Amino acid sequence: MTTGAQILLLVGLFVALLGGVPSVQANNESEYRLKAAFLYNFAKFVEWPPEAFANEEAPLLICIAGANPFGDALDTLSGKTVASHPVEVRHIPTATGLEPCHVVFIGRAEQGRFQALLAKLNHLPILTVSDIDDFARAGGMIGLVEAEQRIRFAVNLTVARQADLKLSSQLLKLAITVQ
Amino acid sequence: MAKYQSAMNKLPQELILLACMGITAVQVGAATPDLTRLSIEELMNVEIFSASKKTQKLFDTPAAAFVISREDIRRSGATSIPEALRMVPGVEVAQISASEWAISIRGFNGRFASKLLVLIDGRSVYTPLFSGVYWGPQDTVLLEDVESIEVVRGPGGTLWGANAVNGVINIRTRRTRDTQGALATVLGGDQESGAAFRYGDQLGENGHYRVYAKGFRRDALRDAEGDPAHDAWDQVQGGFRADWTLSGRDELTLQGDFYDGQPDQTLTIASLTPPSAPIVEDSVDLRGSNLLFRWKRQLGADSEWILQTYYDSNERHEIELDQRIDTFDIEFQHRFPWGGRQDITWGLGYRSVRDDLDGSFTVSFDPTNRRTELLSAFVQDEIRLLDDLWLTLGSKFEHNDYSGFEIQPTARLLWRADPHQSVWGAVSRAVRTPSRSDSDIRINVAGIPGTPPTLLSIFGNNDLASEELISFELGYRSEPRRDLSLDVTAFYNRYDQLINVEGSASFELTPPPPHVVLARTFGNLSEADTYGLEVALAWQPLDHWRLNAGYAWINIDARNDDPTRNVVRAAVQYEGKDPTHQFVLRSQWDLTRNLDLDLALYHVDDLPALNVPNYTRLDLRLGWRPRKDLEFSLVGQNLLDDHHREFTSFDLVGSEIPRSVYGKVVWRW
Repeated sequence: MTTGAQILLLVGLFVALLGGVPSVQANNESEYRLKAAFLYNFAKFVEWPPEAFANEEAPLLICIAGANPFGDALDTLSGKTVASHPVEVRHIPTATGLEPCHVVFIGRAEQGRFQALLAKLNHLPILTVSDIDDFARAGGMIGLVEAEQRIRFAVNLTVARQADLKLSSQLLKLAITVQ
Repeated sequence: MAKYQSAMNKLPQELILLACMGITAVQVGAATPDLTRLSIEELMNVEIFSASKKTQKLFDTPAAAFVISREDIRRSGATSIPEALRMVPGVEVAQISASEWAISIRGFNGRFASKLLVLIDGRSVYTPLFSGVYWGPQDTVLLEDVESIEVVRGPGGTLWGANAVNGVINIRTRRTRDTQGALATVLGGDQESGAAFRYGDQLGENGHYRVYAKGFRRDALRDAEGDPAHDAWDQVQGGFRADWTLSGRDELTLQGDFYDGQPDQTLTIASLTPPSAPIVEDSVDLRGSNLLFRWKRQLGADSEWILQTYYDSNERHEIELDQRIDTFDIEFQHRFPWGGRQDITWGLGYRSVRDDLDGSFTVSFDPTNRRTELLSAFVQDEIRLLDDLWLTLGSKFEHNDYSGFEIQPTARLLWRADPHQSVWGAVSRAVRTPSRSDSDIRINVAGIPGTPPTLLSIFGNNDLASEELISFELGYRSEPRRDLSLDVTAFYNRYDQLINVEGSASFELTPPPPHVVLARTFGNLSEADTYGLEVALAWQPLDHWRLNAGYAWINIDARNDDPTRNVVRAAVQYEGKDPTHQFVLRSQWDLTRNLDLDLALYHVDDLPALNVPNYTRLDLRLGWRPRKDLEFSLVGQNLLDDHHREFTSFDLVGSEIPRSVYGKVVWRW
């Protein structure tokens, strides 16, 4: 049985190593599916001022400003609810008219103009989230950071407070930096 | 009445790989994951690359799974793995002495309980001697570095790429990149004291490592009068782990541990001259080390293979037996999608175990040295039948030197009724192959003075077949609101060919004086039906307050195949050693952002066969973090009574568990 065992094992290894399956590279799709889930979770830990919603059932708008890196990954959010508000996802390629949004995501492609965007949204009760480097330090509220193949986030509490948004302590506890 | 009698349980087995597959209890399941169901904490643990893989919530697992998180461990105040397991609904945890526990799932508990597979980072830690776990010395981890403990109740054979009759406990330590920097803990209390240190850093451009060392002393528990028992325990241990990520698709891990411990124990041995079953105080000397290497290659978003090999060597020297056991194990596993709706996992494993068992008059083995081999293969297919219906089919095949060829198939069905409810059912066959003790042991239990004297002895049987289980399970999960979840499992298990002992008599001339032997020999003589219910409820009434409740109920009916034979009654052998009802209630309350108040209340039913009354146990913990890198905690355990008994083992003189208090500091920099 010893020899049998070894032969079987070797054959198995061979099949696996050589016969293998075509390798596929990691893709952005999975990265943004993960980021979409973060967006949804952030929304659950933020308290907007009452005037941000017309009523209890008014939709919570998650907007993508400029280029949309998510593909259809954000579709999974539609139909979900945060508190009593149904989530609605909008893509706003021109990045104008963001005022009714509750969450605005700014993709890396907007690196050139995100400062101008933030200036426009300044003091509005809109949660700004981005994966642009140093986003939170540059005046955004939540910056997504890639660390060792996982996603972490930094929070700029000062900016959020100025916008009258309350971020839950649970969220702050998990942030890598809070400023 | 015997030493390794309930030892009769369990299989020297197997392949494993829960951990090394990276497929964890939370991950195995089916289909495209809905990441939005995960909490932020969970999301933070998802690797970007694996996000499209089967990262799945418990919710979509077609098995009775429960996960203890790092936070749960921290807030439980547990200082060892066995103590942390108390929180899992349906797991029976009973402490016998300072260094010994009886732990089981779905019945058959005992010091040598053997129907459970226990893994640390993919390395099996039960001893092939009796296929159970010496819980004390095997706790070779730094608790702060444990990522999670996944517990699967029920046969884990096929689905988990493992082989376990009544359950799988999978302890996973954190990746080294998550344990960078230094950590020091100091613990002091009236029952235990200890210190630990860990340091982690980068290793070249693509790697990280950590090293740790810890030492502790568990003071003696109590005897029935409340005086100190003879069971104090000192241990030192250390280890390392290194992980490399190469070219984005290869992950290599090398890790190892060693330990050296001296638990005291009080036990009965046999003698042909009076006194016939003297109680002796003994000091055990145990040492062990292991080295594990794992290579994981990502072939695509849903496809990977893993190659793992380890070597484990351990020694245990006690008055009745000096044992040394060396295990070499190599496993391979490959997972890939097939045709859009199927996901296939298959694997191969080989294990070689060599032992040296130098016995005594009380316990001896024939032969004293033995090398056994185990060869195994498994295949599993997860099929998405409909958008909300998944079928999992699989089987494990193995050949072992004790019972030959074994097959363990399973079929599982999961229906996601709506986004907030799922129902699953499973039918499985699992076997417990005979262990080295079942096959080759002789235990002299006691001598009875007289002319001639009489010796009561238990004999192994090298002709045993495996104990068999056919298991039926039905589960329901519901998450009606974000802050509320319910998990209910019902099971019905039919065991056949259970090992029991049959009596006979003979006469022996050696050792002198000549004596009558009343022999009891292992045989596949009994069968049993067990059924029960397990409930887990999690509720977060407030942002800063979490509650967990659990309940487990089990009923065991055992009988002998042939009532006319001279066999110990199956009811005596198998019933009354497991609590019929168990309750657990845990509360985690964040008083402020840096102050925790935690409570755990356990109620465990009586064990009539062992004369152990029911007990209620209360643990409290107060934790304070004045800074992010510094934590003080004060923990009171077993606060409701001075001392109580949790279990009685036949050979070991067990202890009672006293009320205890400790303080602990954790400092990171």
